Amino acid sequence: MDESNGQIYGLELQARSLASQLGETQEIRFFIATNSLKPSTNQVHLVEYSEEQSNVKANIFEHPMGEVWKITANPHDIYEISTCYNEQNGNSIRTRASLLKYSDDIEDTGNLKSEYRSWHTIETLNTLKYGDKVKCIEFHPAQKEKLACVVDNKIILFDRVNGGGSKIAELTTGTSTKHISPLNGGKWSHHHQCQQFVALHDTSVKAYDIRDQHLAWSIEDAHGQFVRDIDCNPNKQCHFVTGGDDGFIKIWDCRMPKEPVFMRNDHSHWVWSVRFNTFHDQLVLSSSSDCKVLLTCASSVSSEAPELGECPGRVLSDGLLQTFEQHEDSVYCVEWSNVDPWIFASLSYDGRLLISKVPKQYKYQIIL
Amino acid sequence: MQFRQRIMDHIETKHSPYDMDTTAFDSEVYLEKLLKDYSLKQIMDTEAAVVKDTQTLHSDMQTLVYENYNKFISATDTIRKMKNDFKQMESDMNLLKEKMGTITNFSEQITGTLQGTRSQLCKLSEKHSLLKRLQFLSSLPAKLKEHIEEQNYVQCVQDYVHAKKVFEQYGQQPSFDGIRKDCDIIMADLKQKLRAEFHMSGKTAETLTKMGDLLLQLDEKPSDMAAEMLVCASKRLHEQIVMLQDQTERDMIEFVDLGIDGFLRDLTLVVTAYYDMFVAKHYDGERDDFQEVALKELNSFLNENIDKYMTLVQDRVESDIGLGDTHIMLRALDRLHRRLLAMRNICCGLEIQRNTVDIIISAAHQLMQTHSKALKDHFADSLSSVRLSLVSTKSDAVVSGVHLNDLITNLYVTLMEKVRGVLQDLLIFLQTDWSFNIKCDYKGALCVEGIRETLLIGFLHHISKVMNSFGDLSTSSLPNLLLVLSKTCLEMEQNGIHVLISLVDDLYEIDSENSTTLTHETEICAEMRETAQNLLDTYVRLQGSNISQMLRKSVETRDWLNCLEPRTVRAVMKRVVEEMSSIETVVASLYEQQPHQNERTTASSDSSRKTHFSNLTGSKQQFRSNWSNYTPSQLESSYVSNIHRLFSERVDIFTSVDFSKVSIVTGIIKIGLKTLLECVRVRTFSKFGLQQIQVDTHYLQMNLWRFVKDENLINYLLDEILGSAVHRCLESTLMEPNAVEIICERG
Repeated sequence: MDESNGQIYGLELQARSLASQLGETQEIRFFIATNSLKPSTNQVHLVEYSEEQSNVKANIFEHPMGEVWKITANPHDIYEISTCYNEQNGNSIRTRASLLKYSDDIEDTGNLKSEYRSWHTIETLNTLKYGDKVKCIEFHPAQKEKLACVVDNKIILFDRVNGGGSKIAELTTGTSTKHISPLNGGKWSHHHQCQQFVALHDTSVKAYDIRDQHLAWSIEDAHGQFVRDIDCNPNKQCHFVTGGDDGFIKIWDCRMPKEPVFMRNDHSHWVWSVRFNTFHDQLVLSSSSDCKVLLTCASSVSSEAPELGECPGRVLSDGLLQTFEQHEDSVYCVEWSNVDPWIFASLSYDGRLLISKVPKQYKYQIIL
Repeated sequence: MQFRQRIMDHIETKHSPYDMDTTAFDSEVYLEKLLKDYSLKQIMDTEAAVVKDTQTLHSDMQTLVYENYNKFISATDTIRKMKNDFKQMESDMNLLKEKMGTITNFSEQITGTLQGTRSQLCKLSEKHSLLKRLQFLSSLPAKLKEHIEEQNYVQCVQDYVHAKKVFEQYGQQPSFDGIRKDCDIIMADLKQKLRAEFHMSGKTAETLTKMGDLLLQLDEKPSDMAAEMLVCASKRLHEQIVMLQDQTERDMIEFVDLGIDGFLRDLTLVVTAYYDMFVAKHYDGERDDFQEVALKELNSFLNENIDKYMTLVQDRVESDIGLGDTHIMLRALDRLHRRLLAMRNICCGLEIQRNTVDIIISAAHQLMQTHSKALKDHFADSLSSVRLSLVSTKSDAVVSGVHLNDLITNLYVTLMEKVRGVLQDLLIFLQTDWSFNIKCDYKGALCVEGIRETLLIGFLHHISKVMNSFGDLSTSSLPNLLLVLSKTCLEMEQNGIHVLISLVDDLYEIDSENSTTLTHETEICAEMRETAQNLLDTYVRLQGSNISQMLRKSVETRDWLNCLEPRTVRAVMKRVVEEMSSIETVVASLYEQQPHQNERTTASSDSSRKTHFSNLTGSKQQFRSNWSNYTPSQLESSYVSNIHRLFSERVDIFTSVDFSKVSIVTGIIKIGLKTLLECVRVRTFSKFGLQQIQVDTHYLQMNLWRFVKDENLINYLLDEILGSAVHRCLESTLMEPNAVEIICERG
């Protein structure tokens, strides 16, 4: 694969969901799903990138329920993913969520009624009683039976073993007459034995403790405008990165919610997705509707930050490392591979999936 | 004879064989030479001359012999007569000899008898003088006392010194010893007294010197005296300093005059006296290097005191500067400087290290800092007043551009005037009628450059920094304030900086062009421009996000699946257009320079507008047909939009804008439309929902074209919006173009 251009895999439909297959430890695989209104055209692609052959293979699954807005891979089960999709019901549209599981059995694909592979099991979550709009499903990083679901202005915790869900938190205003803008997604915090769920709401970030269902901490006005995405630093658990409509990416320490510890403004439009590299957390990826993917370095606040007195000469300096401009439409998702720390995928609205590498010079600078 | 003379001249030697008058004359040689050298005529002339000479000589000789003969005969007669006379004289002489012998005898007898009396007389006169001296001595103690009582110390010391020599001679005699002891006691008293007075404070330096001189005559040890004198003088000078310290209520000139008349005058007296007494004179009783040591001591004494005084003056200057009249202070310092220069001339061989110029320079520095602070304060004040006036006019709904322009001019002009005033004010240090010239001094030159660097450039940096802080996205500023500040920065960059820097360079005669250390004008200009750019960008982003907010809310809150067939353009679109035109008027008032451009936008006639509009509808038609021609299956494929994209440039949304109305407004529109696009993409539309979007985009196209230079940009973005809406529509059927037009025309 060409170092600078990356490997392209194209979809024929619009797409805005991408996830790395977290359970997989050998192959570099990503799930992508389409976002098309036309009934029964939506698919989920499991894309496998082979570095030696420099090619991309894909397994295509059907997604008959509707257009996919969000896809998440289960870190405990290689075969399982969750999707959030729009479901049309007369003159209204609801967003629902399902857990989909495929089987590795080749025979299973011999099903001739469809050109795409079908799923082994499909389990639709009972979210209707909580609200109409499911924003995202997040698998608990440690307890495989738990998953959190953001519905409208609520965060619901599902227990798959005992069945049923429980509400962690619900945003309300004092008077409750006003329209409350819904939550915009969230992530599990690795901090405190993963007992906190961090949710995004308008311009602020709020963390709730799942045990006592109280607001643990919050960052008010994290961004000047809407906060689009958040990611937790897996190696430095009190750190979070957020991206917002003001084009900023900011790294926060949840113990100091007043000021971000790191801040960049390199995007020229909304930031839709931000990700820490799971191995070298000074590398931060961000994608934006300015059609660019940026690789930013935040050495000074990473877990590999130089100790005081240590010679900082060998450390990669903070700032923008690389701009990837191969996309031609807004890039809504970007994900690191969970297998190879130097490879990442980005997906733009026009259905173009791009698998790229961290440029060699930075790689060597970090390793050596 | 003449001829011979000539020959002789010719030969030039006296004892030559050619000279007939000398003994060495050789007739043969002479003849030979004659024959050889001269012509026949000359020889014959010579011969005639020689013959004539010979004849003359001959006759002369005869006359002489004749005359001398007569004399000889008369001499013989005289000698014969003398022989007779001498015999008589001999007997007379013998008689005289006898008589002289008797006279000698008598004289010896008389001398013998008178001898005794004379020696007695001598002795008597000697005794008289001795007695006189004794009387002086015996009366000396009384006299000395008398002198002391009359405070006639000088006479007293003179007498004593006189008597001292006698004592030294006859000190052994007991009677003298008594007197001497008396005198010593008195003088010891006197010494004590003198010393006491020497030490006593409140004496002028003059008396101090006098006392010192007297004490020296009384055989005080010069080295001790020297040391003591300096100690006493220091004490006295210190008193003066203390006195000066208390003169806080006097103004600077009085203060300096007081110092000059009191302290410096005394110091000069002491120094000169010391110099005369110890340095210029040689003392036998002291070590060889005494003079050298004394000079060194004096030097350090002088410097120490000048130092003290200068510190005092400096303190005074530091506390006064910036408060009172700088001119008066400088006049005072000038006077002091002159005085010190004069002193330097008096105290030759001494070096005064401390310099008034240093004080002046530090005063200049301090004044500079005060001014710098004042400027910054003033700047902060005017900024807050601008802010205040913007806030207060904000309630008047329409912010007129004229008002903004006034604010800008006001801010700019007061800024310029203030800086100019300060620069003029500091110029006082360089006036030519001062006796000092601080530019000569290295530190002074630095100071003058400091006026340029720290004061002016520093202030400009400050302006830019403060202005920049308003451009920080995280702080919410008034959009119009950003516009005002940006324009002011631009004004500074284009005119102000140049004016101020050339003013300072002219006033202070700084050659900044060729200096490597001085900040160049372009650096500041670049910084200013960057600030202006930054502020303007922030303005665009801020206004853009305001528009975005409106659009986003309007898309997010509407139920697009269950809406009715569009009858009108949505109100929010009208508001967006209104907002844009009010932004445009404000921006135009600041950034519209070319008058003909102005005409185009505001006063364009109906006809010209029509043509534009017809063009536009043409392109719109084209655009519309693009979409309506696609079959549903084509519509769904993303190729359509991809092909579109191939032919258009990528649009950067949040980018820097130019300092022109069109660029600014375009920037804002871009941000707004991009937001609309992204919002449309996350919604799902029914047929009527899509048609509403179609109406809205058409309305925007109709109204936004006039704000931008490149209509294609807007068309492209609106294309994208409608395209995305088509993608997100369950039943993508577009409205009839004519119907859309009618709705839009209706408003």
